[in-house]
Amino acid sequence: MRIGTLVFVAMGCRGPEYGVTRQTRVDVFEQDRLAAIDLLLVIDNSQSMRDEQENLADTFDTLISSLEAGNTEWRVAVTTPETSFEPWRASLEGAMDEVVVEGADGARLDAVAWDDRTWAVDVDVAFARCDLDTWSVEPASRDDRNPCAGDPAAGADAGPRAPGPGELLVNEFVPRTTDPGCGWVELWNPTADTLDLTGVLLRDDGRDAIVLASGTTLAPGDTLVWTAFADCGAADLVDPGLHLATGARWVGPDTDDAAREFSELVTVGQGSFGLEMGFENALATLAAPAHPETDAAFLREDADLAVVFFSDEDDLSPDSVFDYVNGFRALKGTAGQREDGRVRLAVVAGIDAPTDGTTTSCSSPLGEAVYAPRYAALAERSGGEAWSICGDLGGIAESVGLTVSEQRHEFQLSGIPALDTLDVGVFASVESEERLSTPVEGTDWVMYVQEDDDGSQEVWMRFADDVLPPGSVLIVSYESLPDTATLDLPTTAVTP
Amino acid sequence: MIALFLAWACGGKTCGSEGCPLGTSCEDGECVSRSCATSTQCPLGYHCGGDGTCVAGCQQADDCALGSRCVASECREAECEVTALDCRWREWCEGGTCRDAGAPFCEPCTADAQCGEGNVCWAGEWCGVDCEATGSCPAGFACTELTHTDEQVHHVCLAACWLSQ
Repeated sequence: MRIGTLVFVAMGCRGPEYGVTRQTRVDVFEQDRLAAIDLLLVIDNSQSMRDEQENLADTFDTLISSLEAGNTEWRVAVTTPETSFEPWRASLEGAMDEVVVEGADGARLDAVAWDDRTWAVDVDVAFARCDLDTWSVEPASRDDRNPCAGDPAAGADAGPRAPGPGELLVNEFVPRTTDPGCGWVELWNPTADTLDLTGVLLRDDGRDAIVLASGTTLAPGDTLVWTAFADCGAADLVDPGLHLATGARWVGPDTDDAAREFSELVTVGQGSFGLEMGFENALATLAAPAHPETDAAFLREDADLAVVFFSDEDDLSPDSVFDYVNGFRALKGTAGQREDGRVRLAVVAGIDAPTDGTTTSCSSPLGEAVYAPRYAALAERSGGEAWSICGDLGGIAESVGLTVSEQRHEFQLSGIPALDTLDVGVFASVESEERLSTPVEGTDWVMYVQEDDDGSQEVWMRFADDVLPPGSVLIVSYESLPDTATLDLPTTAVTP
Repeated sequence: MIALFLAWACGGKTCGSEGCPLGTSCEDGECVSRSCATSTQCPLGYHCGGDGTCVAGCQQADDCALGSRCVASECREAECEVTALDCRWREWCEGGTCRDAGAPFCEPCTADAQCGEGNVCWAGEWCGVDCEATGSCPAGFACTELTHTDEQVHHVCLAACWLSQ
């Protein structure tokens, strides 16, 4: 059951009518929260999840379409269940990326990786492995070679030939640029031979890759600069197939090339130790991020929170399932703890108990999923959604989007109203008192009752879509009957 | 916004035919501001009292965190039913109560003999307790198949023991 934010109730003067004491009540419901959702995806980074990560990256457009259908200001970030090791512990994805060069035969020729949590990756700053003029600067992470040694001009050119490991190097790169998506990579031939780069692969740690065309060569000591788009600047090779992570920790409606950024975030790799603690790491990432300077701003005070877990194993976090449900709800204060809609937890896991005596919950072309009773319990105990990870991830992404973007429609009145005295108004704000509309019973709203634990009635109003726009204030005034009064109304809401 | 409403409050103003400003109620002829109308506006463990203020103590389960009950105005954790769901790390659910399984689960070790009969010293660091017969482990542990240094396949309860230190 979802209720709105009941700001307070105002009571007018008392007066006896119909033989009972009536009071004038004015229930004011704020709808001025942003229609906003902060969606955290917790994605298993174990080896068995590689294909699911790829599939999930492909579902971005479906997920976002669903979110936007709800007129929602959305924000999506990713973390993992990995608590054992840095850099995953209590951290949002997005800090790391790498450029890997592979030969046509699949041999790894070179690689550079960066992590802006350990060294700053600033916009438009180039990292140089070997400054070809000063031979001085090296990035913090690279293959264990010494590419800056040697004199490429020495000796006779025996090429063109295919490069071997260490013979085609990532010499400079700029992952983040003022112009979105205009990062570039400079490859360098440190050998004395012309290199035939036919079939050479340039990729990152996600799912992006470009293959150099047949006949591409690089003379001794020469460089080849790649960039994604022609208007990024001068380059020897323009190909949008490679996308360097920009360091964004989340994507939203304003993110440039959001689908590509999402792809970078979702493909979290397969570096997990194997003892998953999805609940623990997700809660820590939100409540006590290891890198607050970049991650803490993800949670917006006025936005709802949704956390969706994707895994083919079960959770092994140290506390009880209820501890985590309550921990997530507490992130939104009293409203989060009292109202079901402020914090929504969902799982995509092996939710169906096996009946064949094994631990396997389900199988799909992507692999098997272990039965995950803790993930299933999280959804059930929080009133959230649960989907089988063996299902269609595209359909799941759509459902996730629809679930988290659901609008607030139901509000509990503070008293029992005399139905002939109801006045329902939607206002632009409390300050202006500008009445936007006067919703009509039956068309715009319906009323129903629910029985409380003590046998008394709770009176609820359910509104149709678009009656209460974001930022509006709903004011319901009425003469209230005694708390012991009962109304002859339906016990379930029929959508108006 | 709430502050704005409250700013309109007129404590002490006499109720007239026009009633009281928003955020106040007419009680005994005077407009009085209230801090809550229903218990949903009060922190967990509190309820909205008759005077419109949040009062310590629960009235019903909704006033408590999920998984807790309201007993004599106090929120109490419900009895456990399933170890893996309801208990915390290294605990068993026994008779509705979670109890620490204690040693040798995740006890530091250097040799199998330190971990008890049938158990192994996993990775030469932590005791892995045999679970082959039952397949069950305390909360936070997984009954895991591993090939030990004795080259035998064992099923032992494993956890991220290093995180407990």
